[in-house]
Amino acid sequence: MKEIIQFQKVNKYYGDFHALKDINLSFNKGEVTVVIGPSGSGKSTMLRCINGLESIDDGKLIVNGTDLHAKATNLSQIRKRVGMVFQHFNLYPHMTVLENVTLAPIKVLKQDPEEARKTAEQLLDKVNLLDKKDSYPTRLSGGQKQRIAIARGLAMNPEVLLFDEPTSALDPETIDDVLDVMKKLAREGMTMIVVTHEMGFAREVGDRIVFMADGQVVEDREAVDFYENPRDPRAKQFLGKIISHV
Amino acid sequence: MLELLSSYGGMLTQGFLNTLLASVIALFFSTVIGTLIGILRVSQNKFLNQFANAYVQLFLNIPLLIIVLFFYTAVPMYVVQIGGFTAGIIGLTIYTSAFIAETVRAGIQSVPAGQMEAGLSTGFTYWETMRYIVLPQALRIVIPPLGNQFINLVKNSSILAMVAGMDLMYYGDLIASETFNTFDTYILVALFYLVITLPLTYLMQRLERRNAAHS
Repeated sequence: MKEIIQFQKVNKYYGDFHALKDINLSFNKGEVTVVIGPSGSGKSTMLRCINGLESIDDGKLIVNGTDLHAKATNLSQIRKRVGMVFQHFNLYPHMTVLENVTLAPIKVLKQDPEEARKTAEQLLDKVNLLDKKDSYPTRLSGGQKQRIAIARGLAMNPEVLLFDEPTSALDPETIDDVLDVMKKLAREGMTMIVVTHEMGFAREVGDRIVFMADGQVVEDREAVDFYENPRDPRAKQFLGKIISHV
Repeated sequence: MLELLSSYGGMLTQGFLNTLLASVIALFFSTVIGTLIGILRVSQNKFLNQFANAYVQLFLNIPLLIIVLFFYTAVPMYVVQIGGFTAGIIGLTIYTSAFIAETVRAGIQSVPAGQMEAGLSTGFTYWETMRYIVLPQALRIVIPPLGNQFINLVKNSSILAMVAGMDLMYYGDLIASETFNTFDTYILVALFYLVITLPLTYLMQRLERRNAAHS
């Protein structure tokens, strides 16, 4: 399998706080990686480094063959190929659903507006929200917003889609709709890196589990293997807590 | 009062038209300059940021009259010949643009940071994200406070009277000193100001409502 993202001894600080400690990680094309761990463990920070929303302080981070840390790197070029879905959706409230999805394809990829609209409608259909295409985001539920956000990410036809706790801000009854869409994408072979607390999802579609704690990667293994026998005591404790809740 | 209007109607109309013209010109340029400075105030470029900050602090914190007098006295003496009307408009524009810059900055900063991140993460540059995503939302937010700045601008244009700017206030002073009928004169002048400010208020409120319908 082809590696499309590589962290090599990456360190990141917020002032005195050491957020990422010597991270070595790689992500493969076509793989679904689920990143779990207690809050404050650096999962989201690690994810946000991949598309340059956070900068790294040292080490090497290679995305799609380009070193993100290099001065000459044009982040916009990288971001065209790396989609992101946020915890709080971040849809554009002043645009309709359709406009939300077509904006970047038209302005960034210079797609023909008519073509962009057709693609957008197919994607909205895929997330079961074609009937909402002319609505404004404020009229939608959280789960609907998040599915629109996924369609917006897909419209750029990215190499990889990053999910930053996509269901954490949702009402329980709308979580499944979002997870179903994500599962569909996973089965279609989309490369996904998902920071989440949804262990059911992780178990069902995760090819690989990365467990982070205190800014370090403490487990990085095949999903099945991880659940069967977590090695690190922090992972054991974390799994224990999650499972006892279910 | 009607007497006053019939004998000095020409002067008042002339003053009214000059006030209107000065207001429109100053409103246009102060909006353009103020928006630009407001955007620079949130820029990550240290130099631009500092420049915009200095501009705002300087003109926000000295009296309008001093700015106008500077352009009326110092500029013609050392730089270029301009009259009171022009000097007044320049002073008014610079002064108001500092307030508009602060209004626009606050508007931009009230747009959640996630909007900028969403724009960046779909491959837009910082400036493209500003243009397509952040500014359109910020401008909606700033319509009501911007309306207040516009009203203030129209009223502040009465400063032109201090530099022989031939505006409504200037003619008002003239008529009052000729007729000694100060009360009626200034009532009339006030009514003329309302002819500009009331429709402007109405216009801004309509704009506000139209935008509210979308969000």
